[in-house]
Order: sequence, then structure tokens, then C-alpha cells
Amino acid sequence: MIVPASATPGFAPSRQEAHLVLYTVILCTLPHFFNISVSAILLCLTLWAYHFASHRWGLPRAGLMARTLLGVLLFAAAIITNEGLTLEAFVSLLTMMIALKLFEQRHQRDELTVVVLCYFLIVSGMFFDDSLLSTAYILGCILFTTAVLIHIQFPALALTPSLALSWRLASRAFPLMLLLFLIFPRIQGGLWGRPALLESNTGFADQISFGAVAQLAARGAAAFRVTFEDGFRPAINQLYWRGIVLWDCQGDTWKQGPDMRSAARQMEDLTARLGYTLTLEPHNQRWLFALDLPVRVTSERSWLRDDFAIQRLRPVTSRISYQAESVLTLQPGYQPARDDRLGLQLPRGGNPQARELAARLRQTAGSDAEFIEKVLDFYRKNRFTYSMTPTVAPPGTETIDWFLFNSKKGFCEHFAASFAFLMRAAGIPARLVNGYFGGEENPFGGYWLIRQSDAHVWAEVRDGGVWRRVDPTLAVAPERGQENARAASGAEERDSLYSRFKLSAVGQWAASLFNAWDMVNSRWNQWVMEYSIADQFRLFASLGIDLEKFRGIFQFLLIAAAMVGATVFFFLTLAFMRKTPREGDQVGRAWWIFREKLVRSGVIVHDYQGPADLLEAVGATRPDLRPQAEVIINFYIAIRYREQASAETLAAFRQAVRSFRPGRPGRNA
Amino acid sequence: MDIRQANQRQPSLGQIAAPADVPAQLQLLFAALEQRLGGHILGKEKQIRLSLCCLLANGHLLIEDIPGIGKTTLAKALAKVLGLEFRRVQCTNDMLPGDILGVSVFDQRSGSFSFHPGAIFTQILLADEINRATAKTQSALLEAMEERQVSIEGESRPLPTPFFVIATQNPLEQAGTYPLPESQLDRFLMKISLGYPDRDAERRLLAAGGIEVSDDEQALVDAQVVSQLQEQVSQVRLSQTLVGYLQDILDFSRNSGRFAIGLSPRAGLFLARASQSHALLHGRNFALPEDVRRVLPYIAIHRLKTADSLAAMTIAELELVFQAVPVPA
Repeated sequence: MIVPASATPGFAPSRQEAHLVLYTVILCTLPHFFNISVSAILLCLTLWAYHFASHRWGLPRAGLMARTLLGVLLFAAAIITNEGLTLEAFVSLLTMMIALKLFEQRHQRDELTVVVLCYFLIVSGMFFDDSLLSTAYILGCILFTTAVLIHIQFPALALTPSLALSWRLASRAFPLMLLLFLIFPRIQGGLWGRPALLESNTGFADQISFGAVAQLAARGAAAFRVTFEDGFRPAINQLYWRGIVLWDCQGDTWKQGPDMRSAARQMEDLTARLGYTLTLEPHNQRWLFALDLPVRVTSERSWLRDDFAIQRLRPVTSRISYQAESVLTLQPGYQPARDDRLGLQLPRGGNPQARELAARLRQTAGSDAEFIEKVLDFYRKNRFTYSMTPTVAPPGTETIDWFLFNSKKGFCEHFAASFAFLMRAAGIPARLVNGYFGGEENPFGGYWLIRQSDAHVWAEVRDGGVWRRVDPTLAVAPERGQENARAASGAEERDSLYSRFKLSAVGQWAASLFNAWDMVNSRWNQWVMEYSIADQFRLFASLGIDLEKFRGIFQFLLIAAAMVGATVFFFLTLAFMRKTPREGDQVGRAWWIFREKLVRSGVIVHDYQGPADLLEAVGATRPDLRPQAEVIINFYIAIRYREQASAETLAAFRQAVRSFRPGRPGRNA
Repeated sequence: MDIRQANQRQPSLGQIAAPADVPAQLQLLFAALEQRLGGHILGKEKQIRLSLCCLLANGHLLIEDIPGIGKTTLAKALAKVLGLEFRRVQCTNDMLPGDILGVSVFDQRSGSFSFHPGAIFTQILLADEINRATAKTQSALLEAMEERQVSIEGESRPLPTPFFVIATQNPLEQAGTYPLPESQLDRFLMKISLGYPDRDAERRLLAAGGIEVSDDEQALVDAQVVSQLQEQVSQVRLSQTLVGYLQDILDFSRNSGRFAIGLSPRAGLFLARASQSHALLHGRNFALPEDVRRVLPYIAIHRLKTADSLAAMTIAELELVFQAVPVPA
């Protein structure tokens, strides 16, 4: 038999129920532990542990004052530890406030609030990770949360049948979800945009300083996936994925320099164009990637700068797909007027040894090309090694000097940056290109996967009328041209778990397993997560409805209808939930107000109580209110049940309710 | 647990009434009645009040309990205190309808049939172990209860007024019984059980060595007064709001999906009548939702079964389920 818990008078959640709510909260918060700050995690764990302990050993609960104070502190903590109003800050605020809400369980609706908030918590996980696996986890959480919601409202229904019911509900809702997914107007990029991610898990900064790319290279996560047209299979050492171009040298740090908004001049018709589709994971930056050298990119609000970096108006905060065309053999043109000025800029002083080396080599070299060879030889012949964990320069030393003459150990960035420095010191315009190099073909999906660990920096130097690509890293570690950064970084790295996993015999089938899994994820992204307005229009077009024509009107109408519907539904629910009496029924309305006042004064009021029982309840919890309440209740009974009320009684009743001021529950209550 | 609390609060219902509603003598009379009855059935104030309520509502009472718990004593005491005529039949499976209703016997001297009335021609009838009688006998008895008259050989003979049947059945023994079908259970206004006495009541009982209802016990009222009281019950006001509440309850029993079959219109009439009676017992000439809620479980318990398992419900479960019905504002 099912008895709604709301029917039980008084409310004291059983320990078992309280634990169930706690488990729900933990289940829904767990995935966010990857997203929120460590201090927020610790705060959450502390609150949970205390909540658990307070049920187990009856520790004192936080009172209203303590909760308010804690709430303010946690709010501050969420904002401070996540650097302002970022998405992470909102999520950690939500997690901590839910953890705090666990302490306020006076009514059943408090429990319900916690569980309902959990839905928001789970779904907000989609902001961070929408892979197939985490979507499955999120769905599982939703099923469980619904089951708990059912169980709390109908305690007689044990958890297992609640889960079954939740499953049935979900499977019935599934077709509706599918339908809404397909036909509900999609809002590209969100109505008001969404808060920026604090640390995009693909952090690729707009500057490099010694050390940054190594952290990036240590990550195995996907950066983007590429499908080439016409089954083209490039050689791996052709795959230079151009990102941003760094002009501004400040010693050991390189920055983007001036914001070049001018577009690249149109290429004359080139026959060797290579077309491909690139699906970029969000990296929170304002640029896109394309194979060196891109000639055309079709993506909204983005353009090809004249240094052939692809600029985008807004940061990439969600996965996007775009088509691009590149010509592998093309080199960017040199524009003397500007490039002379920008490509030779160097800090006034610093790194004297490097400057001296550049001057010495330049004197012996007959031409610029010879000088470049000499510098590369310098790297080759002086036992430079490629390493992901270079020794850090002691503070106060000149970093480039120290790298060139002391440590001689570094990765792409050290080589490229020091190389470009030497070039500029010798009067040859040079710049750095930050991007990715290489990739791995997924045999299942027929696409290439470029990981964060493929991040790379190379140099471009002036060679007559063009910029020539020079990759000094390859001079030191030619194998970097065949494998990704980590594998190329020497034997010392091969002990690491990841490398062993990659290279051992097991690695073979593990790699194919990984490829298959990545393919499934990629399809998931392609078909579900990237279902866009355009796809929607295509769907409608295939049904013979041309929405493109009335795009704006259609979208506006649907959104307006949805919003109006939601508003109406909200108010209807409110009206039915609160059982506000009809307009014009003054007695009912006054009675309702009276009961609301009693509720606020701490009396436990139930819908099923008649007036006499209500008076008993008042006497039990607020004896001080009883005389007043008795007068009002007797008026009400005279009107409603004795049916002998005159107009005066009615007025007196309403007046009595109006002047009924119970105040807050007293200490003695 | 809340039921027990509710019952402890029960006496306070009277406080709501203004003194002028019901004459003070009447309130004193009810108090005296309950006190006298309470002297015979120790520690069962609630059951005594429900029995009185049932009687004044002109309904019949079914008591389901194990033997030796005081069912007969309750019936006897009611009869004595109210000054009513009392008879008892012990139902068996070889009992015939005539044994209860009476038979027409040919009188050779007068040369005509003369009617020998059966046990049913009384004011309070205790039908012990009614489920041991065969279906034929049961239906004869139950028909008489409903019609309040006996038709034998084409002649209708009205039963005395007031007429009140207390039937008992043993909840445990199933062998050789004929359980009452739903249609016949519906004729009983309430079903109660007495239950074991509490420790204090039992101590008093043991100390007294049993409490007999002696034949020379003085009646407090007589049959005429009881009939007047029954008439007065039907005068108790059922306000529009209250009727709305009653309808909500009936509607809930039919449409909530919790019960296999909802409450019948007859059950609805009984509920209204019992609520009026309950109100009068508490000195009010108008019924409150509380009256309805107090009597409802005892009216519903032999009528409602759960929808999923067709199992009978306990009083506590019924109390809880019907808490889903809000009192109209």
C-alpha cells in the first residue's frame, strides 16, 4: 500500500532516508570533483562527513545562525577559489549549498529541495564533459535521483520498486525527449552565452613561456578530430596544424603581439587544395586550427588573418565543427613593410651569450640559409636532448643562455623559442607558430585524432619573399616526426605508466580498443552533441518543410510558445499546489491566510486537519496563540459548518484573521 | 501512532460547541451513558462511544474479535442501560431462516395459522458468530436488518423500534464458516473490534472477579427516548462544506486507485449519518470534518480493500490513506 509521506504529521526523516539523500548528493557531485577547486572539494567532503556523523552519533546540528554564516562563507569561498564568476564557481557554489542544505531538514519539502537541486547539479556536468561515458553516468544519476524522489514521497515504496518506476517513467519520457531534441528550436551558442570555463581542460594559451607546452603535452585528451576528403592519407610529418602566430618576443616569453584583424589576401586558384572537416574540442580561446597552410575556412564569425592564423570572434566554449582547405606546399608570403618591423623585434638587453653566438655564426655564414643550417648544426652537434622534463633554470639566470649553454635539454618550445631568438639576434625576421604536430589515424572511424600531447611549436623565418617553416625540434629529435611528443622524449620517459601502456605488447589491442572507443565517442559527438540548427533545417527540409524561409519567425514563435507555456504551467502548478481558494471566496481565502500564518509561527498544519484538530495543533505547539486561534476557528466553524453566520460574523472573522499576528516561534514553543 | 494521539484528543471535540447547541441534559445523559457502559466494559471508551454512535445512527454493528473479550457483555449492557429488549442467537450451520425470523404454525383449535415470532423480534439482537450460519440464514437475517421488517408467507411484520443488530465473528477460525459476502457486509454500518483490555482495566477486572450485567440493572432511558435521539441525529446539520468533504472522500475512495472498489452510495449515507451521530454525542448539532474522520475508518474497514493485493486494511492504514483528502477551506 502506498501512503504519501506528506500525509504523516510532523517530520523527522529517518536515518536511512537521510543517508539516501546524502548518497544521492554524493553521486551527483562526484563527477564535478574534476571541475571544482580542491578547497571546494574539501569543504564538500567536510560537510558530508559532518552530516553523516550527526546522524550516526547525534552530533549537534547547525542552527539557523550557523547555517546563514556558513552559507555566506561558502559563497565567498566558491567565488574566491574559482577566480570570480566562472562556471566552476557556480558549480562549486551549487555543490556546497546543497551540502549545506542537508543540515536544514525540517520539512519533507527540504528533502525534496535537495533532491531536485541534484538534477541541476547532474545536468551542469554537461558543461564540462559531454562524452558518451559521462552522458551515460548522468542518465544513471537522473534515474537514481528520480527513484529517490519517488521513495521520499512514498516511503512505502521501497527503493528497488522506486527504481523500476523511475525507469518506466524515463522510458516513457524518452520518445518525448527524442522529439524535442529533433524539433525544438536550437539556440546556437546559448541565448546569453555561458560563463567561461576557468581552466579549459585543453588550455592552450595565447603566449608561451618556457614550460607551458610540456604541461599540455602530458595530457592525452583529444584536441580535435579531422576527416579528410576523398580518403586522403597524409604523411605524418606533413601534419603541422597551425594555431596562432607569436610575434612579440620578451626574452623567454613569446606573445601574440599586435591584433592582426586584416584578412589574408585571397589565394589565386590553387589546384592542390586539400579539403577536410575539423571537429574542435572547446579550448576557450579565440582561434581555430587548420593544416599548414590554410587557404579557406568556413566557420561562422571567424577569419583567416594575414599571418594565416584563424581568428574567431568568440572563444570556443563548446565543440564546433568546420570545414577548411589547405595547400601543403604553400608558404605564407612575406610583407616587408610590416614583417620587417615585427619579425625583428627583440628586448633591448639580456641573453648576451646567445646574441654573441648569433653574431659569431652570422659572420662565418655566407647567406641566411647557411646561417640557419649552422644554427641547426649547433643544436645537433652540442648534444642537445629532447625531454619533457627539462631542468628549470635557476632564478636570476638568462633562460635562453642557460638552455643553450648549460642544460641543453628541452622540448619543442625551448628549441623553437631559442632558435627564433638567435634568428632575430642575427637580423633575420623570425616568428613562432603554436599548434599541433602529427596525429593518429583511427582505422575504425577513418578520421585523425590529434591529442593535446601533440601540441607543438615551430619557427618560421624569412626566406626571400616567403616565410619558411623551420622546426628545430626535428633537428634534435627526428623521431618526433614519427611519434607524439611523449614517446619521442627519450628513454627516461618510457617508464611512465602512459608510455608503458602505449608501447608494451598489450598496447597493440589496447590501442585498437582505444581507437574503437574514440570512434564511438566521435560519432556520438557528431550525431548527437553537434546536432545544430542547420541539421534541424535539413531534417525539416527532408520532411518537406522549408524552415529556412521563415527561420526567424519560426524560432521566435516556438521560443515564445515554449516560454508562455512554461509560465502558464508554472502559475497553474502554483495555484493547484498551494490550493489558493478561488477569487471571491473570501471566507476560504481568509481561512487560508490564517493557516499560512500558523505555519509561519511554527504550528504544524496539515491539509487533512479539520478546524477542531487545527485548534488542538495550535494548543500543542503554541499554547500562547490558542485563545486568539480559538476565536477565529469558532467564527470559521459558525460560517462553514453551523451555517448560521450573519454578515457581521463574516466581517468579524476576516478582521480577526487580519489582526492575527502570531510572530515567530518563541523559545518556549 | 497518530491514531492513538487522535483518540486521546477526541474528548476535546466538545469544546468547539457553544453551550446552547445541544441541551445540557442531553450532554449529561451521554456522559452518564458512557460512564455506566464503561463500568461494564473496562477501558474500552472508544468502542463504547462507537457502539453508541452506531446505534444512534440507526445502523448495525459488526464486531470481529476472539471469544471472551466482552462482546456479549457490551450488547447486554447496551440493552440494559438503554432500557431495550435484548435477545441473543448463537449461529450454527444447521440453523434455518425460520429459527431467526419465526414460523407460522397451524393452530388446530382456531383452525388458522398463527405466527410464532423468532429471535429477531427484539430491540437489540446479538447474532453470535454470524459467519457460522449458512448463506440462506445469513441473507434472511441481513434482509430483515435492511428492511426492518419480516415477510413471512406474504405477510409483512414490522420489527420493533429501535432495532439494532450486533453481529460478531471470529477472525481466526475459518473452518466451517461462511464468510459474509461484500454485499452483506455493506449492511453493517461499522465494524469494530474490542481487543484485549489494557493492564489497568484487566487488573480491575480480575480484582472484581468478573463483571456481570445483572438483571435488575436500572435503565437510564427507554426505547422511546432512544428513538427520539435517533430522530435528533438526523436533525444534526450537514453543511454544504461538510457535504463537499464527504463527497471528496467518496470520490477519493473510488478514483484514487488505492482501493479495489470504492465506497457505495449506501456507505456514503452511513458515513453522513454516523458523522451526525458522532457530532451529537459530542454535544453539537452540526457535524465537523473531525466527526467524519473519526468514524470513517470503522465504516471503511469492512468495505475497502487495497487495489494491488485485495487485502483488508487496518484502521491505522485507513487513517493514513484518507489523510490524502484535504478538508475544503
